[in-house]
Amino acid sequence: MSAFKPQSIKWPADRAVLLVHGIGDASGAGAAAFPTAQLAAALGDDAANVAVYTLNYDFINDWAVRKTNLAAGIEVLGKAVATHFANAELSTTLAKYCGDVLWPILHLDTRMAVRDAYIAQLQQIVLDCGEAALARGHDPLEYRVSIVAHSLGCFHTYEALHAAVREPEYRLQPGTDLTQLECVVLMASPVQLIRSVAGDIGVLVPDRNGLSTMDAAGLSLPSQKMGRKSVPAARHFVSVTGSQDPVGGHLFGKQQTWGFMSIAGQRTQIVTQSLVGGDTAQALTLALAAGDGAGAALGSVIINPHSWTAYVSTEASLLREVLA
Amino acid sequence: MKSRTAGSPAEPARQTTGASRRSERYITLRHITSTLCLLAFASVLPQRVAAQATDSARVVQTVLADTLTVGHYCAVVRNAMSRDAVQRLLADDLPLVEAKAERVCDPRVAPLLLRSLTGQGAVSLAAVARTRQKAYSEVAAARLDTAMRTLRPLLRSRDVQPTINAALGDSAAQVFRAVLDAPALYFTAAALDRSLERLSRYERKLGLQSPKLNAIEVLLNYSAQRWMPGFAPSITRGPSPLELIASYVPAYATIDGRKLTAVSASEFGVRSYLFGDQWGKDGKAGLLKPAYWSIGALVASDRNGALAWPWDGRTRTGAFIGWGELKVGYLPGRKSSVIVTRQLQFIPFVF
Repeated sequence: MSAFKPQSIKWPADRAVLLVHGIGDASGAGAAAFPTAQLAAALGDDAANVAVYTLNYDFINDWAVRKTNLAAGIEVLGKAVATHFANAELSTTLAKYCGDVLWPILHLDTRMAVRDAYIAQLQQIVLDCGEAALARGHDPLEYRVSIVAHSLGCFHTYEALHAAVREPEYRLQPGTDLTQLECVVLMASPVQLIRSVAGDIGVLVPDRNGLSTMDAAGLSLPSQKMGRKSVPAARHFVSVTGSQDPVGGHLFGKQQTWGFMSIAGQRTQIVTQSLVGGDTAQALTLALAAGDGAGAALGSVIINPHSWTAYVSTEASLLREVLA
Repeated sequence: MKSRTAGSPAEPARQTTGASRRSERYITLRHITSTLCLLAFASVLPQRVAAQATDSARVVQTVLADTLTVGHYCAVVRNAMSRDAVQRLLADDLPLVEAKAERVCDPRVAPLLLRSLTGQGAVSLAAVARTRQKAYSEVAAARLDTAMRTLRPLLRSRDVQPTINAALGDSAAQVFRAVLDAPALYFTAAALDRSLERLSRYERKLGLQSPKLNAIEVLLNYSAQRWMPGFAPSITRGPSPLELIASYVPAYATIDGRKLTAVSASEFGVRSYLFGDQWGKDGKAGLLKPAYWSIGALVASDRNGALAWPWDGRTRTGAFIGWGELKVGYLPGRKSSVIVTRQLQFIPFVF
């Protein structure tokens, strides 16, 4: 069997949340990459009642890096991204930054392997939920599961949930298998950015039909069609992004249609961020290049506008509300 | 049996990532089934179960864990459907529910264990004796899965649950929920195993022990996945076992006269990965049970030597076969030779 083992947790109460990281988040810092402390702080006393799962798929990225020359593919994607940025000074940094989140569209095996890891984790959560509820004599359908994803994790979440509602094989169809999630929160989602760039390099993308991000009908909330009824994968679908976060579709405070994910039915939360200093282009370049250290301001705090921990901290009230 | 109070924050969460997850999952499901069976039997034979549960609960659980059958499932569905309130609520869906209930209430499948429907557990001897042939059980299992998958959302959704609870009463409603959820959990567990099996195949093909591809092979395999049948991954089976080979191998060796001599050759062929737990062994066991085998054509110059250009001078065309990392080739000609090498990439993404 696979070296990957889905995480299994004995639920302390009737709720669980799955944290899905972005590209490289976990390979650099391991488990510490997940903003579990920030989430616990956001939930306060209620944190003890929530089973927190984390999904790490960086090991699959590592396979692909070793097996194939991914750098070349990322370079192609970076160039495609750069055409969207008018500011020449920024384009190199942004292309490199965004290229990292785009490569899975080119490598079919990796894309499918990450999906299987994701699906396996969701299946394990369903089993854990059933075990916890039945052992207590509760109804498992009263138990709630939510997902909080960041950056590339949003793309994998979007694809995995669309696959889950489409494929009976996974046993995760919300209508048939009664596995509807409570809430999906996508933070700095690059789904629209990937859709735009993948559209630009359309012929290079393998299995376009298998990518929900590339659906000709546009982006949509994952839902299972049951006759005339449509059962959404999640009761609530929330998109959170910063006003200075290019991965989330913003540049210098302006929303970019090619990068901002806007799906009918989603709830959108824009985090107001402001760049530090007079030269905004330089500030953004520094912010993106410096990790969590410097760049944009959220109130009096200076952060990387794409930082997951910052999103979780600043959106504490939102998380409390949707995970309660 | 595990029993804890919901919402008790004092109890720390258990996290498991060990290698024993698969078996542990079945142990977990066994516990669930124990609970279900106790509940199911409690509804049918309350006195018997009450006595057993108090006298030797653990033994009873173990015995009952494997005895929840399609017949029990049928009984709780029929019980719910006999209530007027439930019939009124189902309204337009009632004919569909009745048709599917008819299927799960086929007396020929009544002895089948719910657990056996996923193919994970053994079919009970009684069921085999009754149906006489395993093939029938498999067909029946597929039909039952379809029927149960249709019944559950109709009878277990949040919309209908309050009516069911009111019609059956708390205790019977709990049994009803548990029995209808049991096959769903079994099938989810089986689906999880299939997901992990696919992932294990991806690991074999892409993982740290797999051969690295050079730039040409990356492009070839990318193209093959898009345009050649048999090379693309599948949702249900995972990756294709096939991978194209187009590489320059400067490290074949042969005996020329009495000297060990290097031979450089180009390989064009296909590698086939061996999926399954019994393959992909490490070390010496890997010689017998490797992760892949390969076959194809060889092109080499008649001038031996490391880093020789295969098309330099007179070209020899032969064949190679690989078993795991070990490859043996044959180059015909006046000085025909058998050459051997080991799978290795000397310069990343080049050769």
